[in-house]
Amino acid sequence: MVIAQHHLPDNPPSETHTTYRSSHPFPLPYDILETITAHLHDLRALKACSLICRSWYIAAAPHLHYTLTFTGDNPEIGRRQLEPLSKLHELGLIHLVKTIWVKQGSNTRWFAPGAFSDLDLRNFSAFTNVHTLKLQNVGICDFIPGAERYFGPFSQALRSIILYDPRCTPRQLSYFLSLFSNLDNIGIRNTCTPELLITATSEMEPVPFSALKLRGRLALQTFWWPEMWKHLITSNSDLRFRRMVLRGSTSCAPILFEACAETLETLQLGVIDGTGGG
Amino acid sequence: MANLSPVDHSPPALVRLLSNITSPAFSELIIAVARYEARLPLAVPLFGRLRTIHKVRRFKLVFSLERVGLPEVHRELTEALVSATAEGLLDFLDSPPTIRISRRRHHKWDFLDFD
Repeated sequence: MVIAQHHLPDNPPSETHTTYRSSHPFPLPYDILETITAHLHDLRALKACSLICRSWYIAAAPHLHYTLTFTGDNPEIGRRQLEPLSKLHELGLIHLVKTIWVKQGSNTRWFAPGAFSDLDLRNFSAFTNVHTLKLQNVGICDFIPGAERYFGPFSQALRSIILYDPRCTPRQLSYFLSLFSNLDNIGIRNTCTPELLITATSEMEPVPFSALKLRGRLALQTFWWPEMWKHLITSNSDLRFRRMVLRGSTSCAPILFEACAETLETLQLGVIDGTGGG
Repeated sequence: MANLSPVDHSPPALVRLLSNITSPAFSELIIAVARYEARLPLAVPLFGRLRTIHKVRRFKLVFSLERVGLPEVHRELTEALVSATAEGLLDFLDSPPTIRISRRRHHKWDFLDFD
């Protein structure tokens, strides 16, 4: 599948449906429709709702298009992965997308600068309402230098970033995170050995874009790069997380606890993290 | 901005590090329990470690069950905590530990999520 976006729609209901709605003896108020659709998490149900009439479509559309997911494990497909962005743009749905999720297999690296045509890049840059970015097995190192060309438009609205096995060095990661000046929440799961990543990518000395003021939640799983936090702090970022989840990542605890000593409210550990050692 | 100090990887550091938390809002220490760990608290020195931490930093103890949602796991953990309480292993706490069941997870790493 080239792109599994949570529901590039067929066409929105036509005026015929509006006529049906207006002839309905008991049309529901919009806030009721909105409440109903907000409680639907099943995509098939949401799609069904969106086909009832225009009112239902308007209520369901923000939930249908909330998350845009790019998937694809075939590296041969390459640039065609991003083509459906054009249709999304044509239908005027880009502003409804709040979360972008790039899902790649561990041996696939299609989501890279080479996958973006000029048109794709223009469309991708239009996602200015996205507040959550999830990148799975993405070669962040492939976007450096010049990451701002691709991710710069997210910088103001983005509040949360979740990285599954980011392909980069600690310094490249801190540089990448500094793109998003209003970031609050960070989640990182890493199963690759840092040594392997460092030798696989060229280390450079990128200059951070902004000093982050991290105030939200941090979740780390098997993340062994305390130097990444050190890079962020030395670039004047202010780590003041209130909630922290550390699983298999206690090597980061010293620097994180010191930075967040005055703000930490809850700490979550795994059983092993809470019992290991003396 | 916090001052940096050399990273200490030694295991006992966790207790010492928590003692440095000065936040007045620090209130909860959450232990995430996987299915296979439901009986683990009795088999490992978890409560001894928590007692040590509590001496330097008071907290409310919460056990979080994630990605399991199975009644038998909840029951096993409840029984383990009742047993630990009966043995006086939790007498250092100001209030009994609670068990929190997270929403259903779709992926094994969804705890990273913020929705």
